[in-house]
Amino acid sequence: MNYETVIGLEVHAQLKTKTKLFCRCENIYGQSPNTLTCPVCLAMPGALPVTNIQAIEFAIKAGFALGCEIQNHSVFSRKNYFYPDLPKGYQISQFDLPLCLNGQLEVTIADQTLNVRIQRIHVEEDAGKLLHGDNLQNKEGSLVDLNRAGVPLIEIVSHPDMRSAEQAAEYLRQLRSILRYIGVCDGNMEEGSLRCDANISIRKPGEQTLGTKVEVKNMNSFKNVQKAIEYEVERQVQFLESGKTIIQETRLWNPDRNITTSMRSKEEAHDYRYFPDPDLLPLELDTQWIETIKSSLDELPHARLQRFQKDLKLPPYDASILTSEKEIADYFEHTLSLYDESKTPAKAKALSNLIMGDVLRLSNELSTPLHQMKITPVHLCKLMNLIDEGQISGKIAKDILDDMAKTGQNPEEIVKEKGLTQISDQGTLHRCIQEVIENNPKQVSDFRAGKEKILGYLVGQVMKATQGKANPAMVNTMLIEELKK
Amino acid sequence: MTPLTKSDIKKIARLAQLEIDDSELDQKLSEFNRILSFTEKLASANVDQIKPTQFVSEETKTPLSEDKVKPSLDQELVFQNAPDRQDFFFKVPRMIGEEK
Amino acid sequence: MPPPKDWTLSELRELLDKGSISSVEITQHYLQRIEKYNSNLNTFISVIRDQALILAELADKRIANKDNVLPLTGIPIALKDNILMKDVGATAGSKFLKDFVSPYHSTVAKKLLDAGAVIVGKTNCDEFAMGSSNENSAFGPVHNPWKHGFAPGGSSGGSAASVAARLVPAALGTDTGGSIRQPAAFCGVVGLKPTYGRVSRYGIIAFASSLDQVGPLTRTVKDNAMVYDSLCGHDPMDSTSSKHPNEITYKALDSVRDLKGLKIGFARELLTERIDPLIRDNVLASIEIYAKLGAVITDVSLPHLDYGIACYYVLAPAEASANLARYDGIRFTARSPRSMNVEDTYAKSRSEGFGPEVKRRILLGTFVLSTGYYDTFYLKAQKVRSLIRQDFMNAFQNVDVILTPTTPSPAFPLGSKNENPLDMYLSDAFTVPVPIAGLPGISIPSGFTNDSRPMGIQLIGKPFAEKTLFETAYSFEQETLFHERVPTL
Repeated sequence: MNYETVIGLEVHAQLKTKTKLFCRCENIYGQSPNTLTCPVCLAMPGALPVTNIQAIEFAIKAGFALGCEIQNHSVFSRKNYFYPDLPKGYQISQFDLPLCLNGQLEVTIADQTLNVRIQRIHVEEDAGKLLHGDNLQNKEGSLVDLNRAGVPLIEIVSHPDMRSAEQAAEYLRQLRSILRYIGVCDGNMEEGSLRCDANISIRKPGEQTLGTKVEVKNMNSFKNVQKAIEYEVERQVQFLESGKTIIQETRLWNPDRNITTSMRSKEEAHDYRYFPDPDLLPLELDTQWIETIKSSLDELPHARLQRFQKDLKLPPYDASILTSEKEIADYFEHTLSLYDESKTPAKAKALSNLIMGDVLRLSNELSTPLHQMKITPVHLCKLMNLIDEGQISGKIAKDILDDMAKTGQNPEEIVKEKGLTQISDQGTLHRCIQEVIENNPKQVSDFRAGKEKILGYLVGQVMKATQGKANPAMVNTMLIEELKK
Repeated sequence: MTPLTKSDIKKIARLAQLEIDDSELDQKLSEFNRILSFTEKLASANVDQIKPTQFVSEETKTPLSEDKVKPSLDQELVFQNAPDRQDFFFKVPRMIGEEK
Repeated sequence: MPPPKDWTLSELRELLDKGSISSVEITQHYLQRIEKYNSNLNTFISVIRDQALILAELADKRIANKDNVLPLTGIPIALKDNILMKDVGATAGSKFLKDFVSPYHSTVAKKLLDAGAVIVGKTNCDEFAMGSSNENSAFGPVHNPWKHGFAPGGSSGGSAASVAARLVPAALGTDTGGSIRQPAAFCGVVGLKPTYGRVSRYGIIAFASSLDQVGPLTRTVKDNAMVYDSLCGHDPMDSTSSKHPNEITYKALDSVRDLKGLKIGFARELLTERIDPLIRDNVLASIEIYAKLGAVITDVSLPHLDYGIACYYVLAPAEASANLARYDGIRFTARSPRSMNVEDTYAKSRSEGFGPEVKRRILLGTFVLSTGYYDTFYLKAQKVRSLIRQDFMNAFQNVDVILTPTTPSPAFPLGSKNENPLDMYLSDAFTVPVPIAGLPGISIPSGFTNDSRPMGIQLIGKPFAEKTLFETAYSFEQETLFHERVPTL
């Protein structure tokens, strides 16, 4: 039987503030254990929380970026449970009165647009880290590091609007892109700065009520999100097919074994006893301040994508690749503004081709983000000019780019040093063409017999003879002329 | 309200992470129910249209602090009272009941 | 050197300023008294003799150099043991924190030290400030200096008894439902619970965050004002701290002559049959004294105060159940040797670490917040809290100060209320509504029973009207001079 999959995601994003949410310990990844702690985040007796303004500002930015209504009045509550990574025995979070409500995110998959509604975004503190013995050859105990305890998080809760693992993964990708775009979260899933839990249920097609949902945790990459959901859906289908009932529970994704496992009725014992934190008065925000934050928002990926398509006439594929990361889009636009002030579509497309093809390939090969590569927008613009002026061919441009990526050299220098200037001299080209025609009588006669596809081969021979330096456009025209004689 | 039962009080104790010895359960339960029945007096208060008071501070909004790093606590002081540690970690006995 | 008998803080200030005595001499005098009487009274959990003498020397230098000499410079003072001072133990009266040494200063300790005060030690109290007799301390009960074997009140019993026994001229306490005012009444001293938010709670071992306040216990009203002035003020480390401007309250007191025009509200409905007749007579006599001093006595109605205890015993335990979750045997509290795994560590350490009253309140608080009971108990209590606050605000439309007894009875014998916790809770009936409403309240000596047990009256003020309370209290004190009576130790 066919089942419909229903997925809602709860995404936790660490905010890139300088300090923690309720104390001024530094918020930074990868430091020695427990060095970023103080009485507040250690939950020493008597310590009290004071809210970080930057965290609130970032949360509001995220709220606007996701089309939410920002609440002037929201409340921090205590969520009570015992766990060794939670020093106070409660997490300060937001419960019935969160900071942001009712947003949405448009997810595009293969030209199809899916509108995922966002239920809420609330601000809360992260827990510390618990390292288990088997990781550390320590059989009799677990170790607690509280550097992360108190780091600000936003939890973005979607409605159950996704219908496949692919949609869920794409939603997460676009969400990550937005959070990175607006500079509130670095989106590093391996380091845990972006984490995702999925609520998954299945139902027979046409049914209105939702099936019993299972929460799956611990999926720390896009690949895992997709695999875990696929696994869980299959597990639920098999369960129902064999006449069993699905129980509401929390399951952990095990990336080594590619299965989800039950966290054992841990949920049953939970009763979080939320109540407003009496150490923190309500978060009352000034409308004017909220508006200032709104106006400071950078252009969002979706708007940029549309602008690239509309104003620069870039194809949807180009636009989506170029806007997938803020750094790529910034790099492209910066180079374009140097290259062609009037931003004509033809030039935009030419630049897009070069970036999407060779520049991103190099970025990948060198595992260096685009904006940290040695190929600067200024140099890239010069390279484009060399191509346009016919000084070098596209093929030579690739080789020059490789050098630029390695050395950070100016392309003009590389061309000069290596003698790579394109051959556009008619006499020289003519001699080469004649030679090629003489050496390839069969191909020439085939061409003249109407097999025009053979032209490419002959052009290639000319290029080979000139070590790629011949001006390909000129070779093309002159070769046809000669052949038709 | 119906008085709480032994299993109720055991459940509350589990939530609160407190042990109640079976031998003292009866006494704890009756004491607990006595206090609860006293607080039930609240039921007779007419609170129609009354908003709950969570805070009695004259201040109405939580202050927001500048996002500026202040020094963390010295390592020595972090672990000064720790019942068990390993290097610069707090050490806790092994977790059970959970697979990670 | 004048005979070391019965100095008040203000007298010590004058002597220090005149240079007729040094802070070191004063400190030694009190340290000797502590050494002599503490074994009998059990008011101190720790005495920091060496640090105190160093602080006294520093204060003497400061006084000699006339370098920023403040009202408390050179004055010995004790802290309730739930108030943190860096590098000094803080038990909050709990076995769980028996060996805890604070890694940081509370804001109030820092303020006292900055003012040049000489902190001499930490006083005994009910565990985590939960109790009304000081019998819930893991370090044994405090004895009332006026009558051995009687309760000093609680939870700041050690602070109140230390001041009454002249072991220190002043001490800090904390008050959540009466923990400063009730022991002040039992011990015949002056105890102020300031307006909520007036004094920082940073570094105070929390009991119930929306109710807790630090305040002074002293022999006289003026002494109290001097300490209060040094404590209050906005603290960026406490998000509930008030930004209300500070004022100097003690200087104007000497010029208070009478109370003409002051309106004192009195709610006769509070004098039910549950009140000890001795207290009833005492409060009526006190009203007479105020009338004689020129105050206008006005009847007020506070119909919802009757819900005070019920409201308090929902709200305070609820907050406490979360505030005390951090005591888990992992980072700073003792771990049960029976812990085999993490789950055990929590339940076993907490069960061994906490005493019975604390456990009772954690259970109660856990229950009233749990699913299915939140609305009936917690939310309802918060609404009743609004009613109680509204009662006061209505009354304050017509009066400046409200007068009540501080306690329904004078000090009771140790052990007499241990059978039924509710009996003990009811002894807070008059003090509990004040923090529920966030108001300032002061207890001052108002007489003695025939067997020399002190009695106290409570004056309740509008928010931030501490100055009015001090003036009202001062006038009564100067008229009655109950503060001059000395207990025989």
